[in-house]
Amino acid sequence: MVDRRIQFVVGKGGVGKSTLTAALGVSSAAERRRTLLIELASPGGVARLFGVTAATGNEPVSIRPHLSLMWVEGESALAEYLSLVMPIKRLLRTLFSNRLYRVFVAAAPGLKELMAVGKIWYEAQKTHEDGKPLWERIFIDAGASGHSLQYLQMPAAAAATFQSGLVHRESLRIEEMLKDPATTCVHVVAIAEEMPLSEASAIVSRLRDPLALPLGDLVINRCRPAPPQGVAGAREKLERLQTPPADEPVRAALLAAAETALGWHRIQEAGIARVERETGVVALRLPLLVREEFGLAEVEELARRLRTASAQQEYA
Amino acid sequence: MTLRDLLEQHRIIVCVGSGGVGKTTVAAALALQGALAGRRAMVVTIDPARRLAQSLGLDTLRAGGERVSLEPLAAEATGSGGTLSAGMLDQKSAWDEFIARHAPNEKVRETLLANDFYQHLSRSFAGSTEYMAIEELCRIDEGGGFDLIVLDTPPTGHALEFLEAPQRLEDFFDRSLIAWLVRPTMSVGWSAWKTAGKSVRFVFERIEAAAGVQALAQIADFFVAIEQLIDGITDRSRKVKSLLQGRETAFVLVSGPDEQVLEDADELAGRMRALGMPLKGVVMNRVHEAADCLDDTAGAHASLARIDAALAAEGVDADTRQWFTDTLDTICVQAATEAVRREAFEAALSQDVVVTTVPEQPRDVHDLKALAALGRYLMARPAVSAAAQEVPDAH
Repeated sequence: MVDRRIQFVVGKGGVGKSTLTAALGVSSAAERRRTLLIELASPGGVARLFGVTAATGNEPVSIRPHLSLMWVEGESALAEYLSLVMPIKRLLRTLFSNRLYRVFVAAAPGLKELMAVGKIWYEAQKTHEDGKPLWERIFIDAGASGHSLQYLQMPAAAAATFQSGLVHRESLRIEEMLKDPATTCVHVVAIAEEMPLSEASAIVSRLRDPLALPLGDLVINRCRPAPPQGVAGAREKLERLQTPPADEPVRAALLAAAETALGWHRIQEAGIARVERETGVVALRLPLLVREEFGLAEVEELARRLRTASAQQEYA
Repeated sequence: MTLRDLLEQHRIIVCVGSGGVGKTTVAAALALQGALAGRRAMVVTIDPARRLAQSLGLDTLRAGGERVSLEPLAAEATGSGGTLSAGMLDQKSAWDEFIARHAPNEKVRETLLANDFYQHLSRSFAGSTEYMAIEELCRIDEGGGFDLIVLDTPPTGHALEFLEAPQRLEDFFDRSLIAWLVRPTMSVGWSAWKTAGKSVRFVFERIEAAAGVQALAQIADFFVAIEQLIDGITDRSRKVKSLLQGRETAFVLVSGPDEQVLEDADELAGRMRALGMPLKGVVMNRVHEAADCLDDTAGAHASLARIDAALAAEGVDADTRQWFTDTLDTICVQAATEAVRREAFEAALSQDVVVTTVPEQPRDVHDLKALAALGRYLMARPAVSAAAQEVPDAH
């Protein structure tokens, strides 16, 4: 798996970005690296997985050894940024209660997104007493579907919009961090169905051009295992099987379930082959875990599978 | 009440829900059913949904809408004179047309369209696509050419933005605010200006330092020009709201049984109640259903053991036999888990909301016939979940 100090996770809604972010964090912390997980926009899937409530979190909160979590929300990041630039409390309060100002904040193209990415940049700059970066790994769940890339393209867009001034200079610094292949990568997540794969393919292509951001791995979540070799023959035998009437419904259910699983597996393989062809990238597969509750135990399991899949990928 | 009644009794259907749940397909299937019943139907989608275009037999979807040939389905039509049109929203040109319609004169229009700030606003203002989708709905409605309009809403993670778009736009173009910005001393008065003045000046200075003078000038130009459109925009926004809350409009929430999707759906349903938007139907898509025979666990296990033994006798190896039982087991766990979540979700809905479930099928709706099959299925489905039927699922 592509390993950088700063790793973004993007993809269509509902494909398991939070789960992957959490699994990456758990893996990294297990290797005793000081790890920070960040959720953009609002506390969501990652916070929920770790049972962290919304009351805390604008600053990193330690959630287990070597692992911290925070979320970055554009408006408060902007407020924080402004308080750094102009540290006069009362004036700031007036400023923020000012409707005129609120409209500007709401309307200024991408200022909030820029500040959110800026806050990540700020965390990435902090150093530990050992002289190394405070966070040896930062994993960012880039939030709901369409918005994922909005954050990543913002510094470049803002630098272009604001052709001079402070925002222009800040944007350039942030953009430099995002585009540095030695520091940053962007993982693209999908599940093996037509639409999420098409979106993943489109994201990969946009990351390359025009965004020019370093691509991490293409992760296909919830992959079904390959059916055993003899499944076709066995299915025919099951179809022809003479069973007592009492067993008929169960036999029919078995056949139907097999039909569904084989159908999805065909769609999965065709889809993955297509996206690999379109992107020229070999996908990293994570298995479908069917559980009544999806919680930390499942995240740990995926973290283990991630390491195995990653090792296999390197071997291949 | 079924989804069929709901379709028959309303002129405007708005499909909402999070991305990836099959909203576009459900919207198209509903419009198609309307057309087959003899209505002049139009489906408007937001995505450049190439696959939907193909399944309708079109090359691409165009902004103005295009007629779909229903000839392949002639045998299925239950009414005569029905037509189906399909169109796609182009956000940028929708905004430009919106400005053109409301601008009092050529000069204001040109100023706005060429303004940098407007360019950004029309592309990236939060809720911008959402508002334009509703605006498009209004426009088609006023055109009067259709007696059924199905709107597929933007695939935002937060479909909430769609519902709040009119209010947000109204707030943004708040007359008093803009007046204050454009002519501060006149509208606020001297006393207010004295206290507010310092911070206003300060805000301008900060924004100038941060954004550069050029950007600020563009923003100011924009507000000066837009002030002349405000009456039109505010009227429009109110009209749009009353259209959405009207008796002829029904909202259909498309969801799936996944935890996250259901949580979003729940939030959306609650928000709709609060905003007075009429949620009348839910399509629960891609639901796993376990066969009834498996409810009797002991009996099912005994049957499985006998079938397993019979397959072993036929020479099927242990791994393959295990795969069959595991596969069935997976579906049972999924069905049971989803059922708990769905029941909790449905219990929170108001009594008169029609809930229709569509079982998960490893198939894709890729032509008009499949779309019609899904529509028929949706129409025939009673409000409460019944036994699974053969149907292509919608995603």
